[in-house]
Parts: sequence; C-alpha cells; structure tokens
Amino acid sequence: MKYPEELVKPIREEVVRMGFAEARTPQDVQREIGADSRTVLVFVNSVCGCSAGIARPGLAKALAQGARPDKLLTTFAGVDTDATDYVRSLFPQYPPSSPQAALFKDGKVVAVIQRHQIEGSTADRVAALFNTVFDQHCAAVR
Amino acid sequence: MTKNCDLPLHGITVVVDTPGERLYIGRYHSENEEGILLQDADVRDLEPGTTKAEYLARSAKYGVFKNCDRVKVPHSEVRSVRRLIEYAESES
Repeated sequence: MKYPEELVKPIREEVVRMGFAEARTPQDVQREIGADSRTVLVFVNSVCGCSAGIARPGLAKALAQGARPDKLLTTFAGVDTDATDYVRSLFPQYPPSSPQAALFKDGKVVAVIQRHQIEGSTADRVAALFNTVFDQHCAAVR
Repeated sequence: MTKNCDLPLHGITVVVDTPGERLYIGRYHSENEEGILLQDADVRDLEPGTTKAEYLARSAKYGVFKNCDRVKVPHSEVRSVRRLIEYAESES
C-alpha cells in the first residue's frame, strides 16, 4: 500500500527545497544517472522518524558546506516504488533500506549510506558522514 | 508502563548474538518475558568457513539481508545485544 500523497507532500517539498530533483519513474532516474563524469547523489526518502529527525537535517547541513555532488536526485520509498526499485537495482550488493543514499560517479555507485548508519545517530554526525563521502568523490564548490 | 518507542533500542538495527552459530540481525522492536522481538530481520546460521566477525563486518558495511519479517529471540538464546553499527570496520 502506498502512502497517501497528502502525507508525503511536505516531506517531498523539504528535499526539493534542498535542491533535489524528484525522480518518480525509472525513466527519471535513467535520464539523470549517465556514464558521464558527474557525481549524482540519490536520496531514498522515507516517512520514518530517522529520515525526518536525522537524515534530512544531516543532509541539509552536509550540502551547505564544502564539496558536494553535481546533481541531487530523490525517490520516495513506499510511494515512488518503481523509481526506488530501479535505483536500488543499480547497487544490488546493498540490501534495501529506508532512508538510504547512494552516490554515483560516471554512472557507477561509489558509496551507499544505509539506514543503520543513520538511526540512533544525530544530524551532525550524519552530516559528517555525508561530508566524508563528498570530500572523497566530489569536487569542492568554488 | 513503558511504551515500545521509549525503549532505548527501539527502531535501532541490532545484532543479537547467540552461544551457537546463529546470529539475529534486525530492527529492535520490543522485549518481554518471552524474548526480544526483531523486525525486518536476518536470521543467519553461519556456513562453515564464515566467522561471526566476518559476517557482521559485511552486514555493517552493506546492510541487513532480511529473510524474516518478524522474529522473537528467546532470552535463553541471547548472549549479547549490540548495535550493528558497532561492527563497522574503519575504512582508513
């Protein structure tokens, strides 16, 4: 059963305000993740508390400083199910989790942050986790 | 009465280690006199040649390879309960 749109709308809007483009279909994902030199962060959003209280605030902090991906893309677990399934099919060695974030470079996944790395943590610690990944793979913003 | 959501580990992915070769990895939900209830769990009897340390490091890196929606682990099987993230290996 999918979550009702009125529940997810403000959650979608929160990440769109951070600069994420929404991918609601597999085709949306395919269009944005190509074999070029760009880095693309895909955030698998969710309605759970650790997404609201830790992952999204942590991501917002991480994106506000230092290196960051060239593109930001989001799907919504339990809502945009085809798009989310397609994204996850690109890194099958990682089991599904919500929330979840994957960084792609040249069309290949180079890092995945899973729910168990987020839950029970803090927004600051998760921001540091994202910043470490961005510093390793993304160019600094000039 | 304590609500489940007030339990310190509620919603956290934990490893329940046992005295034998079995590991339980899943999201801690609640606990009562019967045992610990985990959700979206990996109930794993290790294959020969795989150590618990190796399997837990892999799970901490990749995530939980769920094979069970809900499982109650009897207290008699519990040797320890720790967060999965504690088994992550440093990449540096």
